[in-house]
Amino acid sequence: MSVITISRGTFSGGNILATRLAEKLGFNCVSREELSDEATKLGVPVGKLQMAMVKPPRVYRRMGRERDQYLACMTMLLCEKILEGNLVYHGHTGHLLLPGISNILRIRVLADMEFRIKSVSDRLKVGRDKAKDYISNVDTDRDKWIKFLYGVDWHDPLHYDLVVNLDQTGIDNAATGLCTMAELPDFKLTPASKMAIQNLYLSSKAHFTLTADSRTSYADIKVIANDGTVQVNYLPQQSEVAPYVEEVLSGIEGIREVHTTVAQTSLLYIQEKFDPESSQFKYIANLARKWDAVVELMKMVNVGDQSTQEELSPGIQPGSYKPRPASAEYNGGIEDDEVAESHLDSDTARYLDRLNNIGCEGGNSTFFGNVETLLHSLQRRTNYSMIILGNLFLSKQESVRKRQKAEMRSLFSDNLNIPVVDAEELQEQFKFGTKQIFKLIAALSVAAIIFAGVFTLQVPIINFLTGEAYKGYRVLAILLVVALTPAFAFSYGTFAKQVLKILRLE
Amino acid sequence: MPELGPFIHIDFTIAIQVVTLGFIGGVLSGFIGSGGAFFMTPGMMNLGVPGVIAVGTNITHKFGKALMGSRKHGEMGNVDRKLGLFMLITALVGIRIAVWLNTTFFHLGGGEHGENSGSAAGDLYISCIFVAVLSIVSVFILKDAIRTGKKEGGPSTKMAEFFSKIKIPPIITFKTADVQISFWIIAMVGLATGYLAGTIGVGGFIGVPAMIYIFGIPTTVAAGTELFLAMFMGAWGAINYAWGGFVDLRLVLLLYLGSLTGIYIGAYGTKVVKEKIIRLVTGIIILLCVFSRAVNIPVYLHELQLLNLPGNWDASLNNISKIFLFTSGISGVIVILVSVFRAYRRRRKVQHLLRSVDS
Repeated sequence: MSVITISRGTFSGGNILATRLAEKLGFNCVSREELSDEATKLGVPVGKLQMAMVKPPRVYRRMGRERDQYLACMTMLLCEKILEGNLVYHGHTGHLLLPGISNILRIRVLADMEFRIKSVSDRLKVGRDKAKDYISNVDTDRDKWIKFLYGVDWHDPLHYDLVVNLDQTGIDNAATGLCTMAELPDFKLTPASKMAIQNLYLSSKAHFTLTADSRTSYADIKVIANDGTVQVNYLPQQSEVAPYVEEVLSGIEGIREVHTTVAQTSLLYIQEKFDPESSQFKYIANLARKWDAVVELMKMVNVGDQSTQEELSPGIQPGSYKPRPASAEYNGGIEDDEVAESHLDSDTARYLDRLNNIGCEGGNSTFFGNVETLLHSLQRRTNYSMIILGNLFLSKQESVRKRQKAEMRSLFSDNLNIPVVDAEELQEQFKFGTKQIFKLIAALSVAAIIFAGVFTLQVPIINFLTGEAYKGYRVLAILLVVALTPAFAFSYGTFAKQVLKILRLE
Repeated sequence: MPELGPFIHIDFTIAIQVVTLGFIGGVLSGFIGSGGAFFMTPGMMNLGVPGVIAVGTNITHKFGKALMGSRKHGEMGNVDRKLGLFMLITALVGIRIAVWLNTTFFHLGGGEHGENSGSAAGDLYISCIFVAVLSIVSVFILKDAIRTGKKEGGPSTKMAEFFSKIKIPPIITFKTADVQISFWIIAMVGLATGYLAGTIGVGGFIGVPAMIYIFGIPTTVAAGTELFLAMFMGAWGAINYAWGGFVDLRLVLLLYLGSLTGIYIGAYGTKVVKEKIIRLVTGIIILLCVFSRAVNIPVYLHELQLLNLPGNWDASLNNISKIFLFTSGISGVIVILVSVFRAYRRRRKVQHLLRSVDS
């Protein structure tokens, strides 16, 4: 099974290219406009959202709930089409509707401005200047629309596997070239990708159903689905939706279980392995309880990592080595098909149970891909309060692991606008050991020395700061004020924080 | 202690009151996200600290806190440094004007035999600005809290829409905040923020709402940018007031003792209290602080011999002012602490329920 998404501008020829490509490959072809029409029929205020784009950002920024409904509906419809068979989708950035799904061929189509102006002039029967204005206005609105929906700049070529300029290539040549590319094993959906699409379909359908039902439509909810289990998280102030969630979702085929959890916010915890007995559980649980948050577990399976594949492949004993067959041909990285067969492992299930026991379970997912693809996937899911990076790159040596984790953290921090922390640091934050006691004593000592000094010598200090006799030393007086103040604030602040940590009030 | 000049004598009782002021100011500051000066400045004035020293001390206190806060917001991507720098240009000028005016009024003296020993003119000026500005701010916040309470949503955008129509060049684009604003509007807001930060120590109370309501930028970016701005404004204000000899280091340290503990509790409160309640509490507390300061205005007029007051009215009015101020602060802190406690109880209840289901 294959999915090709074509990202096109107005009158850039992407529409025709998509149709031609689908014909050549024998794939189904669907456009954004067709899905949009279906969404409108299902009650999504698509027109209202699009009209808001012409207004200032502060107006459309308030339409978060409508945007979520639109995205849930479009994702549901697109997944539905994909599950029907091979598909060519053409629109703006279809691949962003499918977060976490790898092996999609993502194409961006460009055309020369003159080509676009001519197309507009011919189609709309307008002059050159009007055609130019038309293209410019539509492009601006689309830029805003995509920024509003996904928070990305869709012109960035890094979002695509291939950028095609139809100016010289022509539609037929481009279609022929793309057919060859679409046949590569890298762009065939693996069983793992198919499972991810099924999960995405179920979660988007459940989300859309909840947003369309009057009993639950006003709630800010988050839905995660995994193998028929649907996790719905809602805010405490909207707890009145809880009794209706199961009832609203009861008609959806494929849902085996529905879990609901109250949450002020959610934390995403990414690891390769979840150990329910690890000491870190305590710190994660502490943080979740303090923030009134739920913890979503994401098991990361790095498809490029040989050892991970070995571990997940059936029949392999721990510690044994499964050599790569010498005759193995290049198969585009689809050798991890077995992953699809593996359901929730027992450790992760126990970890979830422990979180559930303290009312902090936020669902789970498995991500197949590398750091970059994970970043792209997370760019659409920005409703986390914090991302915690746990045990990652486990097959690497400790020094390499630390470096790669630091690089991953820095990449995520730069691109996601969400605090990203290392689980070990979090442990440090909550831990109160010898180091912290030393820190507390040192901070208290510095603060006490400054405090005692200022109050013991208050008359000379005040005279020095204000007295006529010291007017020539005014610069020194200023230095005293601007140096002592932050020094005391820092030392006393550190002390206060450590004390509140002991009292679990920080 | 006559050698202390205009600075107050600090005994144990005064010290405890200053620490309490700092604690309440810190809790409110962590909860509201503004500096807390609206409470601490009048509080110190009620203890007999001349207005100009109360403002100078407060701005210095704020400088140290902002230094730490801005770094945290920066790490989380909530600071629009470009917007901060543009506002800073005129804010520094505003502070300089404010310091000059405050110092001039202080040197005019007045009320040498009254409670505030010779600072009545300065105190009157500061109190009038305080009452005028913060009464408008509080009414605006309360109105908006009630309005948005009827239909869930963000702050009002009417003013921002009006100001976005003003296209006097140069128009500056701010990427983090995602807005385009005329430089002249930024300059005016910066000047006003600096002037008010320098005059009454509540620049953040003007800067943050101005960025939200006039520029139309997201609340988190406004708060982060204001902290970034406050760091430089605080430093500049501290330098200017220290140059004039109007910073009481002892009061700064005592305020820190309370505020640095309170700020964490206040910040925790924001995670468990609805935004509408936060706005309502903010509006009511500021309004009560305004009343508290307004009650003191006749006292200063009396000290300046511009108004006749019978017998012990000076002392009575000062006490009423203190009661208003502490009532507002303490009730605000109680609301926050009750919310924090209720959030804990709710969580415990959920956990208990889950355990009972399991067993």
